[in-house]
Formats: sequence, C-alpha cells, structure tokens
Amino acid sequence: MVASVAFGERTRLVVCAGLLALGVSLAGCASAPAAEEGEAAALGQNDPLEPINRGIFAFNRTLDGVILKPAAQIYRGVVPSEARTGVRNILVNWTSPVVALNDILQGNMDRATVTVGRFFLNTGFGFLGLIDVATAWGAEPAHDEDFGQTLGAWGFGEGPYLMLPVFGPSNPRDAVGLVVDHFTDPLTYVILNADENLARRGVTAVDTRSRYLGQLDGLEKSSIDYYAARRSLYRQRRDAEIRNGEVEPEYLPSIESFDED
Amino acid sequence: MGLEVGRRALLVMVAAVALPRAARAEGASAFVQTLGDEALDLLMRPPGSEKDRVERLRSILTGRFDLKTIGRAVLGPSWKSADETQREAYLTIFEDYVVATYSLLVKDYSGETFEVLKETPIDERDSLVATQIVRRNKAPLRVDYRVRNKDGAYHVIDVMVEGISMLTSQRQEFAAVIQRDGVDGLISQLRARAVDILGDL
Repeated sequence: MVASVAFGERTRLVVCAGLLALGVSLAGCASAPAAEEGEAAALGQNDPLEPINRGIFAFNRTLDGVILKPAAQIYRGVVPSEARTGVRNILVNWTSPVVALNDILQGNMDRATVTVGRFFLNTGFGFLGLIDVATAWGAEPAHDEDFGQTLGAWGFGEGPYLMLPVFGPSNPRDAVGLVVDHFTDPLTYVILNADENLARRGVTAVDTRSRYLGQLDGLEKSSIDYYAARRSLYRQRRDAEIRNGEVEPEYLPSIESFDED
Repeated sequence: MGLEVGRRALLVMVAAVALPRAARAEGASAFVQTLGDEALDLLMRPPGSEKDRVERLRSILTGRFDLKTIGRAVLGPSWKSADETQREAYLTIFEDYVVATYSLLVKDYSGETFEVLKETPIDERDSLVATQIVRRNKAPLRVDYRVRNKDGAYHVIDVMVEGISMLTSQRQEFAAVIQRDGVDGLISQLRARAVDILGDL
C-alpha cells in the first residue's frame, strides 16, 4: 500500500511536469481535489463554458436522435441477446491492455493480475473473447479503468465541465485521458487498421447506447433540466469509477433534518 | 475457576461495547430488508390499474422515506432564503415529483432477487446499508441506502445507485433551474413534470 502510494505520487509529479510543459493546467497539479469542495462544487456548477457546452449538448442530442439511438434500438431489436452478449464480451476483452496498464499505473497489482489473467483465458479459450470463460470458471468479473480515472486516482481534480462534440460529457482531466487511452491502446497500432479501429469505436458506441436506452429515456422524461441532470450524472459516475465503486461513508455530506436549524 | 470468571467478565465487556452498535446495525439493515420486500411485492404483484400502482408506490415512499428532510437537502442553500409559503408549496410538489420519478424507474425494473450486503455507520444517527439487485444476464446492481435513525424510527434519506446519489443528482439539477428561474420557477416546473408523468393529480 505504502509502495503503491509512493509510486503513484512520483508518477503523478512526472505527469504534472509533462502536462504543464505542454501548457495543460489541471487542478490536480496545484491542489488536491478536496480544495474544490465547497458550495459551488456541492451544487455541481463548475461549468464556466456552460452556454457553449449547452450548444454542443443540443448538437450531440440531435446526432444521437438521428444516428446513435436508432442504431442502438435496431441493434437491440434485431440482434438476439446471446449474440449481443458475445459482442460485448469481445469489446470488453480487447480493452484489457488499456485496463491492465491503468491498473498498474494506479498501483493496483491485484486488479492488474485479474485483468491480464482474464485476457489470456478469454482470448485463448473463449474464441478471442467471444465467450467469457474466465467468469464462468470463477474469475472476478471484468472491471473498467482508463487514464482519466488514473489521473483522478493520482489526485487530479476534474476541473471545469466540458461537453465534447460527439464524445459527450467530459472535463480536461478525462479529455487528456481519452487521448492517452487512444495512444496507449496496442490495437491502435497493431491488429487493427484505422478503418477497423473506427468500426470498433462505432460498435462500442452502439453497444453502450443500447444498454442505456431505458435509463436515459427515463431520465429525460423526469428531468426538468436534462443538461444539468446529465452533468451531475457524469461527474458522480466518474467519481464512483475512480473509487472503484465503493461508497465511502466518511466522505458523505452531513444532512440536516427537516426540523433542524 | 479464575479463568472462567475472567472469561465471563470479558464476555460482559464485549457485550457492553458491541451491543449498542449491533442493535443499531440490525435495525437499519432489517428496515432496508423490509423496504426491499415491499418494493419487490409492488413490482411482482400485477397492478390493478396504473393509478393503483402509483398510490402504492406513494405509500411506500411517504412511509419509508423522510421526504421533507430530502426535499430540504435537495433545495440546498435556497432552503434558507425561501419563505414559509414557498417551502410548503415546494415540499408538497416535491413529494409528487419523487413519486413520478420512481414510477419511471420501477418501470425499467428487471431484477429478480435483492439482498442486503453490509452496513456501515456514517455518523451517530445515519448508516449506509449496501444492497444488490441480482439481474438476469447483467452485472448485479449495487444500491446503497442512507438510513437515518431518529428516536428509533428509521427513514431513508438518500439512495445511491452504483455510487450515484439521488439526492446529489436532484440538488445539482435543481440548482441550475433555481439559478435561472428562481424557487418559484422550480416549483412550477416540478409541478408540470409531475403532472406530465402521473397524469392529473
């Protein structure tokens, strides 16, 4: 644990120096995420580009309504559930190199071992990942990691909210993460050519969207400000992912009862 | 003999230290188990009518959740600046809005079993009860309940699905609306949305 913290801290300093040299300023270089807390953060309003972000969000929603959502609906309507599970297994299996790299960068050797072990089992015995034999044989289920989460685990704050065209909700930390993930993914260089990589991203997008059809429709229907709802959801989801899904009671805010002053 | 006395003394000491916490732990977990069973019953039993289903959902939510405390927390700093009339109107419509929101959530339900995993104290009156919903062909869904014990009565004050807090989500969404349209604007938009989902109230 001590070793992993020290490892994380040193790597973080190196990355800070590198990012600062590139002119990227991230909250984590200057201060711990705790410094961001306060009323504005509690209300989720760190969004200086909000008018632009809302414009891009409207554009993305149009794009989603015309392309991604119909594709996801057709995919779910036409392709049987077993086949979709197979597609999903392959996609998850082939994110393993990036996941394992980030497990290691976060000093999480146990999780890295799980990721690498699963990858070899499923690639070797599960038809390149089509069948998740690792889970069937009792391995821990797959988990997700990316470089944005690694930066978060190293103490970088998320910074202001950013709505990226096509890619959707983000922030400076996760946008850097997206780029790093692309270049640290061996599939970017070997195995797949540029068109095949693009197809893989496309299938990933359709698969992901197909699994959130119901939830996003529900959220859209119940929200009074869909943009703000998605913003809150994105930030909380990323925080939860950085904590690897654990809710930490000591970080929960205190809540005054209705009849207290 | 001496050993026996020593062991008994030790047991009494352990019991004295452990009992209050264990008793509280059991209370909050048992409360969430009951809540979960009620919710499953609601989902499994064929609804007489849509109106009937919504009314049963409402009775679970008003009985098991402290909606006034949640409503106040969701309003954030605006609670302090709101006047008595606004607070009352807001809390009335907040209940309808929460019922409407949950009625959409449970529509999407595909769970089969529900189990309480563990319980952790948050502070002297709140505990976090972790549960999971095991679903067919999907990873289990983690749901954490923040439960407040007030004079021995338990109420849910927050629900966290996969680490995403319902209370935080609503507070952050409402803050954006309040900033633009004020508390009165928030109230009228909540009313419009609740009517939209539930039909005429």
